[in-house]
Amino acid sequence: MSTKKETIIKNKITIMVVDELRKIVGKDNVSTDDLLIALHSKDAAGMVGKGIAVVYPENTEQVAKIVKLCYEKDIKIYPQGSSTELSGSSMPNGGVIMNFGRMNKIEEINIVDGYVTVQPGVRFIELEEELSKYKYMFPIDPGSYRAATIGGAINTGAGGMRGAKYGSIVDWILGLEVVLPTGDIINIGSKTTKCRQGYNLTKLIVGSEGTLGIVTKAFLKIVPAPENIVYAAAFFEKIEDAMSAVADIKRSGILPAIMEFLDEDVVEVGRKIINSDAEGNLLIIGVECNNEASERVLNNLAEILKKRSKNIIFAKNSKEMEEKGIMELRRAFYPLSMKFGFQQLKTPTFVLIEDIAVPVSTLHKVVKAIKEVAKKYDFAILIGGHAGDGNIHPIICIPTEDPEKFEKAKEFYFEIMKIALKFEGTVSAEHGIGLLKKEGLEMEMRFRKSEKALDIMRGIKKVFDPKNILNPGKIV
Amino acid sequence: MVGKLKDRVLKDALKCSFCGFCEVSCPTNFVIKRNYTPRGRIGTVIFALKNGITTIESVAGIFSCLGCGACVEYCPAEIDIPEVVRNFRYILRTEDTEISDEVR
Ligand SMILES: Cc1cc2nc3c(=O)[nH]c(=O)nc-3n(C[C@H](O)[C@H](O)[C@H](O)COP(=O)(O)OP(=O)(O)OC[C@H]3O[C@@H](n4cnc5c(N)ncnc54)[C@H](O)[C@@H]3O)c2cc1C
Ligand code: SF4
Ligand code: SF4
Repeated sequence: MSTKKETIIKNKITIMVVDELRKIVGKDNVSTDDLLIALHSKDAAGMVGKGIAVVYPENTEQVAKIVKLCYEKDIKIYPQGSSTELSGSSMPNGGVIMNFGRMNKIEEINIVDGYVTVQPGVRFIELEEELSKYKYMFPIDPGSYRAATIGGAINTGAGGMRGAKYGSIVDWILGLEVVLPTGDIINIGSKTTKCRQGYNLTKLIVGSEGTLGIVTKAFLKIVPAPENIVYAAAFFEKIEDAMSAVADIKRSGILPAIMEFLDEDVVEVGRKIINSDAEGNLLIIGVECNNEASERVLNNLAEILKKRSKNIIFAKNSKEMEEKGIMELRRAFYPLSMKFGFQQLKTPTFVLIEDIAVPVSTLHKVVKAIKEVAKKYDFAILIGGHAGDGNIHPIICIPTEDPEKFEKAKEFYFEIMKIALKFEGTVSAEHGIGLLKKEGLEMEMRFRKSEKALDIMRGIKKVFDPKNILNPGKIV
Repeated sequence: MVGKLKDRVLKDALKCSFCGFCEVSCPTNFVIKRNYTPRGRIGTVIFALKNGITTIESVAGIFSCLGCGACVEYCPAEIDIPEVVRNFRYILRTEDTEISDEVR
């Protein structure tokens, strides 16, 4: 508890800092409006934080000046893209919120060298639109691509719908410009695909959730867009069968870019989007190929899928697939779960989304185990995710403002993480640790008898951020 | 009557998952400040009706909505965002507060 005198001093420092911020970025790019702060202190996971001001820097120099100021005055900084994270990682707790909405330029597209230079506030949809003009793509495409920013995705270590083939964002970052918590600017990595620069600091920043440095520029690897993608959307009576079909496809030697799934309840609640009366657990497969091979690939997919599914929808290309609304349904998985919760519980719903990853060969057992555990609890639960890389997102819907149910949900959340560890998986695949998974991370390291790794992480945080001013309280 | 309208508007707004899918389609998104986006407008309604926070700046966001409906297509929660905004404007105008004096 602060004394009255301490509170007065704190308020004075805040007023002083806000004045200084205005000098750095101009008065229109700082706000202390309570509601605007509140809007920037709420994330897609339903977490709520609090801040003293929102600042919108326009360039790296401004970022560095702000950070230096905050470092000197011991003010916390919370970097933020679109706040679509699902772990509480962008939530402030009493400091300055730094939003990158004004640093949203695509600075260079270099086809020959295969990279693009972007500021952190560029959204995936904007990058995709620009690159498509060159018939190129950045292969990471989170379900939240309409909203999520590159800076946010780098810092959560995001994955996307094409994860089955392209992995997650960590594999696609060539280099970064980073402002350290002291205000120093460093350039790590390079524009080349090969780079051995001592310890790999670029990869360390990826997934660091804004706790080590502020990303002000990124060099991203890009690739030519495929000539075509063919799709199959297969419906299965049992979710375990859908998961087994994933293994069937992997065994066949086909390497799909997209292997996504949604359970039958999500399909039901999102029926309007796909405009079809198909029922069951949905597996979406997308395979990149050239036009000549398209028919053959579709036939191969049909052969494999029809062993377990009686209802398969095919699309000869992405346009046809988008018209059928199936990818849209997949992207809407999380928001639809809110709707599902609302329908089931008849009250505003709080949704907890899990993010485990397990070896693909164990998916059918893992899904069964989760369903088994769910029976013990009285929850509305949904399951979907990126089956191709073993990343599943069980979702629990509970009424908002029901602390008892929330505690139960957390218990269930932990049981799911334990299942992941039992099957040699991990507690977080792409959403990160933030606030919600801190205990989960500790549990995983204990399970692996590697608590020492947590000490190393705490040490790294101290080296980067000796005064603990940058997004404190997250990860470790 | 306004009480009932408030309940309905809040109920609609609470369907929002804060996913932000609606933002890039909004013509006022260029302002960058979140209160000038559909997500922010829905958030404004929630903070006002649930938490009692209303500020001049947030109201400015509400009254800058063009009602064009470009956001609606992308809302997976199927919220009729301009309709919520319209109703909230009505509530603001009929409330007896400093803010309503400002907007009347
Ligand atoms: C409907 C929905 C679908 C989703 N689908 C996926 C999915 O398929 N795959 C996936 O991986 N995630 C998914 N997510 C989660 C989320 O969208 C991603 O993690 C996304 O990358 C976050 O981007 P953002 O711009 O919203 O970042 P924010 O949420 O604002 O921030 C995320 C983290 O990055 C930090 N940060 C932001 N910018 C910077 C910066 N410039 N420098 C330093 N730190 C920074 C923040 O402090 C925070 O720790 C989904 C979320 C929703 C709501
Ligand atoms: S209706 Fe309002 S909130 Fe929606 S896109 Fe148009 S201006 Fe934006
Ligand atoms: S798209 Fe709908 S659910 Fe998502 S933030 Fe906008 S209003 Fe909310």
